[in-house]
Amino acid sequence: MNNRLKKELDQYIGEFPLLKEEDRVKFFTSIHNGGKYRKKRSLKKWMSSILVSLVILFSAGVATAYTPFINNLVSLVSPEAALLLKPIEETSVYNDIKMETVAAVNDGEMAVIYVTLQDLSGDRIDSTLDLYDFSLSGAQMFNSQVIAFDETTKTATLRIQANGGEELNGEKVKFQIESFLSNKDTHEFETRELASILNEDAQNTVTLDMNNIPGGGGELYRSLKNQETIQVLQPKSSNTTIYETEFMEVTNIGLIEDRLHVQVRWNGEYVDSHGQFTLTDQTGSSIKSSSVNFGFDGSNTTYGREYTEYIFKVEGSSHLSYELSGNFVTSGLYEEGKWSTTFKLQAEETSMLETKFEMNMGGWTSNKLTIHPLGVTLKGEGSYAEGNKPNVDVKLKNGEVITLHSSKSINKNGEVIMKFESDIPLNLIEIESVIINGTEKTIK
Amino acid sequence: MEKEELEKDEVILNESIEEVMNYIIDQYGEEIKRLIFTYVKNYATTDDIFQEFLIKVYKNISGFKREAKLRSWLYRIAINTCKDYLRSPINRIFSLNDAIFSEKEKSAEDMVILKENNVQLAKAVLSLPIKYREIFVLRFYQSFSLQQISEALNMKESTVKTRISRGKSKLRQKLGGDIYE
Repeated sequence: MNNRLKKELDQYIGEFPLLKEEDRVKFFTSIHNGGKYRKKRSLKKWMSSILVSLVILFSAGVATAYTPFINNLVSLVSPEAALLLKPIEETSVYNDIKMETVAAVNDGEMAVIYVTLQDLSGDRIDSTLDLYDFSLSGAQMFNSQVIAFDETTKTATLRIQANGGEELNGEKVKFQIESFLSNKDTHEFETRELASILNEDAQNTVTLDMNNIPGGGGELYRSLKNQETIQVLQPKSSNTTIYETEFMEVTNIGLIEDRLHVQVRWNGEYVDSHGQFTLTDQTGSSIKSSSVNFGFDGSNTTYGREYTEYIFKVEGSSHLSYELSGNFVTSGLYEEGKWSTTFKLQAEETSMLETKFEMNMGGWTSNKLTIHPLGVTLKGEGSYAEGNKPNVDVKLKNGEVITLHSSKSINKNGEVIMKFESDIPLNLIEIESVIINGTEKTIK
Repeated sequence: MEKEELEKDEVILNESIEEVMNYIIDQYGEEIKRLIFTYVKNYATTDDIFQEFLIKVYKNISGFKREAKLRSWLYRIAINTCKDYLRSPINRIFSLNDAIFSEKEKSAEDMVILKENNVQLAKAVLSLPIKYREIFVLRFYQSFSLQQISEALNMKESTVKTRISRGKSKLRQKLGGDIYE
């Protein structure tokens, strides 16, 4: 079963590397910049406007007048969760594209906001919409996802999640979009045997200063970086076209020592084009590529993203029968502008219980307990590790015990904050006590 | 191989936090992302969860106990992050939404990858309840030993064995026949 399941799961998940250069860049950007980053990822299509319907339903106070269609949708989702949405309804129009910050859910430590983007005069918004440059003031880390697209009104609904900590609570925040991508399309580099495209002659190479590149990825990246300089293929050394589309060209393929290099030049007119190559050996096993990005001034490499060199480790002489394949994504539209709304993110203080207590959790001591509709938060001091995560249950007045499995932790400067989320929003007046590691704390 | 890995893990933990994070991304990033996918079954969400995972590791690496194995520790964080996501109230809205869409609504990108491959076993495993699915993925996809699974999921080895056995029964029902060891 091992082999069959492994093979099938690899097929199902996709045999090209899921790990992308963007993952590293996004992580280090969020750590170092503490707020704004450029997101590069593909999106899933959502075809319904369920959330839009829900937001309209509950913010407009028309709960008794909704149609049977909406009624059905409401029966599918948790009404408690839907009721947590707080209407904001701030709009911003630029270049005939309207952004509306529709609603938010906020529990004081994490905020989820819902935003719609509508093209009032064209087709620039579609289901592949991807926010490229956007920010939420005060947020340390956030992400966005298209959750619905209405073909008739050309309106996409996005969910933006911010983990901004307490500084977001009660603050006026500014959500701003400066650019987005849409009209995304996928392209396949059809499988080819290496023997048909690989020039085995000695390659002309150029030196790449690994301390002067914007980034790279993959298993080999670290060792390449440690080498300080590496050799990459001479861009466009051959007149033969290996593969060319409007947004990218495979400019060279060759062997440098025991590594296969596949060089791609990106058309700068297309923003955020990206993809992966996969090398498959005779047994059907795939070899993952690593990559480096760089620019080229005609004779030397420079800092830039014009080129990506995909690098595979190959051993022995059997590589000629290996097969090379690839998948690429490009965006047909890159739109810049300034869509901005300012609004207040306010957790419902009236629906929050707070109590002081002291409990040793092993490594850290908790001294404050807060209960809110989204769950329970423990605060304290010390050093948190996965091993000293407490078990937290909520006991209701009717005797029912709700176990809060889900948790998020922040450990900074000796302060520990642990959030335990409830599957369903908690009605605070129904809570009898909170049980932490078996010790019951009665709520008054 | 495992010994080499442990030695590398041990050496890298003396480096700067940036070096450690780069090492973790290079050494374990791909397998962790594939693990995350088996929980959330969506590429965009996998990307997001992976970022949350990295942030958690970054914030907690100073509390990592050397006597534990780095890989098991990373898997525990990744698994907990996935479960946090799956259990969050907001996700319930989206997962319910998701459930009413058919396969044909997958993005063009998904379709390029999926095609019409014969992946009945993978589909069956991914449709198992999380408590069986995660053990199958760790045991048969990531080739974890029973002890490693027990460490990663913080449960007794006997529970792992029981779940493998029950998971196989459920798989048999789904596949309508035998499954091969």
